[in-house]
Amino acid sequence: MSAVRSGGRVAPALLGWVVAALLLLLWQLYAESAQELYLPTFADSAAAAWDLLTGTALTSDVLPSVGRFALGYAIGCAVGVAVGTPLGYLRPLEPWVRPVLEFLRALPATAILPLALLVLGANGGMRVAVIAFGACWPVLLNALDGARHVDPVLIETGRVSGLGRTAILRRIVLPASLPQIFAGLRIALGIALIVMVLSEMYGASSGLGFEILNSQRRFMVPETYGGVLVLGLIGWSVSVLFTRLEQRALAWHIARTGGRSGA
Amino acid sequence: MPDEIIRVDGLRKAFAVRDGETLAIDDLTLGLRQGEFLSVVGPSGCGKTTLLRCIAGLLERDGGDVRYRGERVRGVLPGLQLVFQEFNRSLFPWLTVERNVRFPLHGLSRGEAAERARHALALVHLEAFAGHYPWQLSGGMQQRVALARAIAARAELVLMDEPFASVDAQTRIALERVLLDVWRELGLSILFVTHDIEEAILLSDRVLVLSQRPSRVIAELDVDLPRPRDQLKTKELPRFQDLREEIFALLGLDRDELLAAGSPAAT
Amino acid sequence: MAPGTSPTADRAAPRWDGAVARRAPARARRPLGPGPRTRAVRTLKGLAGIAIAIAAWELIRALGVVPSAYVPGVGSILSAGVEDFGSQLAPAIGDTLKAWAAGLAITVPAGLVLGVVVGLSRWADAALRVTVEFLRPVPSVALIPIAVLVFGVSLRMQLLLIVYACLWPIFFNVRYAVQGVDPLLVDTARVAGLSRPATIRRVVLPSTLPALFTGLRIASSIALVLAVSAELITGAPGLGKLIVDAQGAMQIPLSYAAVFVTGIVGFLLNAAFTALDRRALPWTVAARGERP
Repeated sequence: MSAVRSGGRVAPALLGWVVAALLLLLWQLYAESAQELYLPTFADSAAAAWDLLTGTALTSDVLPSVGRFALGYAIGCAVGVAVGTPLGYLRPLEPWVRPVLEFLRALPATAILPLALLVLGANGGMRVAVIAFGACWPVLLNALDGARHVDPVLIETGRVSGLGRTAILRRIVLPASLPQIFAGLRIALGIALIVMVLSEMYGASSGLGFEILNSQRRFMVPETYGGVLVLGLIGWSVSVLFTRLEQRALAWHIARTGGRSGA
Repeated sequence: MPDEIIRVDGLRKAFAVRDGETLAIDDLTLGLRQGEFLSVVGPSGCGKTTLLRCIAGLLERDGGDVRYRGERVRGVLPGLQLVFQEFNRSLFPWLTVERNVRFPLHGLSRGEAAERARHALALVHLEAFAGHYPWQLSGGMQQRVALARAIAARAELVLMDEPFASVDAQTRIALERVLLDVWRELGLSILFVTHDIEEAILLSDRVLVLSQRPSRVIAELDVDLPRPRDQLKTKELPRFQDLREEIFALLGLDRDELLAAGSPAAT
Repeated sequence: MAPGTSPTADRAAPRWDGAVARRAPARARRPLGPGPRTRAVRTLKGLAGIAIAIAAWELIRALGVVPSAYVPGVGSILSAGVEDFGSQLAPAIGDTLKAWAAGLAITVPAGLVLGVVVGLSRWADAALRVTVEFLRPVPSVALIPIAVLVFGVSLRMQLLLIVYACLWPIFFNVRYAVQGVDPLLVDTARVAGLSRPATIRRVVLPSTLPALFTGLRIASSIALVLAVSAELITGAPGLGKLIVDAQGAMQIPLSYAAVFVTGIVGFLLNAAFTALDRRALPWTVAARGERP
């Protein structure tokens, strides 16, 4: 019985890996035969990626990039939750701030890079600030909306239990809006990554984004692809980590509703 | 005669609607004595929930007084617990049953809070489910958790808003028995709102009958039936039948033109 | 109503204290949602909030926290924007929107088709799952250099990026919707004698519309980000290029104006798609929740 069941689950998963491997093989064979300038073989690209991860570039470019991304993301999310949740709970304020917030959210964060460079200078702090800027709006707005829509019965239960406003915010509104907040956190993750990469392509002299652009400008094509592969690897790991975290934090919600309400 | 724990005098509550105001409660007066089980019945939509919320301080009243142990009260009434009709929405989904029951006990040490929670859960026969989550429980069990929470809070006063309206008949019978046991054992004062007339008579010491909106108390009946009450035997007593008939008549339920204009039962 | 006129008033019920049974006042039918007065108040508050934000900006300038040469006042930004609107801003908007529109025009049908095919076929879904899981987290801007390698600095370069980035939200949303189609609806169609292609066309596709619209809204904002970002780095014509060039020419207020306009464009696009969403599929908006 269990063999049949696991067979039913293994086969499709295996197919996925087989297809992926086949596509890589296709890439490799085509690149080898076609000899196009802009399409290196998978093998060369992977080798370049490996160099990036094991050579000096690891400490001079890759890790600092990841560090800036993580810091900017963390700051942006913290600000988003800290500001958005009370704003949503304190209903009267919401109509005042909404247009400004919606505007800031709609503004592509990368567009402020040139001006941020001008005002804050070309340094790591500026990049972290811009990453945080990009990350905070989706989190803020989601936290706001989540807090707004907390079931009033839950809040009344809190009031009847003698909780003050701060306690209600902390112990009821925040946990209740967590699913919505996580949806915003996931969106912010993608944005933070984009801003991190772009901040290193514009007016930068180090970092993974800079490495990729620099390689392209010097027509070091396998290195360009290698950098993209490393970036993909980072993006994938971060995404997997996030999903794990989300599953633990929202275990109660997932079990109850049978699925995420977010993305 | 025990003291009154709650006294409502001339309560008035209006809601703003599109073109003006609608009066939900007009000049309502009642008193709940210490240790008493008082039921409030009335036609649908007459404002029973509004009444409870005004007493609890969750709604601002437009007129009248609410006194708790003789003192006028503004805002949320201290030392009370409210058991909602929508019990499933009043339990925090991210907390286990035990933590839900412990929720009001924020002033106590962990050990003491855990002990009280355990005791309360035992009273409602749910100790085995302390580690479960609310959504894993049936409706009747969730309502028992809400009751346990009120018990753990050592609330002297429990306001209950049609708590058994959304459970099936058999579960309701069990819950009524649990409620009576807990009430007797802990000496609670209970203000119990229901639309179920038999339930009101079965459980209470007194029954207040409200009018159609805008509500006021139109009748007060002493339920002089022997305790402990029993689901079968008490309901067979002639006095029970008399009380039932009387309340039926007051609410206009005994006539054919049930939903006719002007009848109290019409909404 | 005077006492005594009610049909119940003459009933001999000794416990009545004189309250007359009154019928609850008939309430007029109210349309759902906030009334016009509430909406007007909300708008006013929003405008006031914007005014406060502008005041805050000027305050920060006045406090001297940041070098004021590089942070112009709202007045100068506004005048630069108005002055150069026709000559600089409008063409830049046009260029960016060209890339945006072309990108979406390619991506939406592609994402729709892919989503439907993968959604309907468990094998296709399984076959592509691993590949998609690895491709998806690659940040689209990382492909800018590769896109430049392949297409140089051109519209097609921007299109490559936009298509890559926007495919995912549309694809995933459509796939999710197709997989979630109520089997009851499909059975109803089959019992009614519909062929498989007809079922897809008349049952499955319409069911995916809400998710498609949500995906479209997300894709729209992603497309704008990518178009502008590519312009920033590569100098392709558009708002991104204008922001950089204005700064290079020390026309700082114009640069700020361009940034602001970029935000406005994003805001308007988002508002347009949200309105379209509500108009076309009003009954599903609440069910889907408001945020992507």
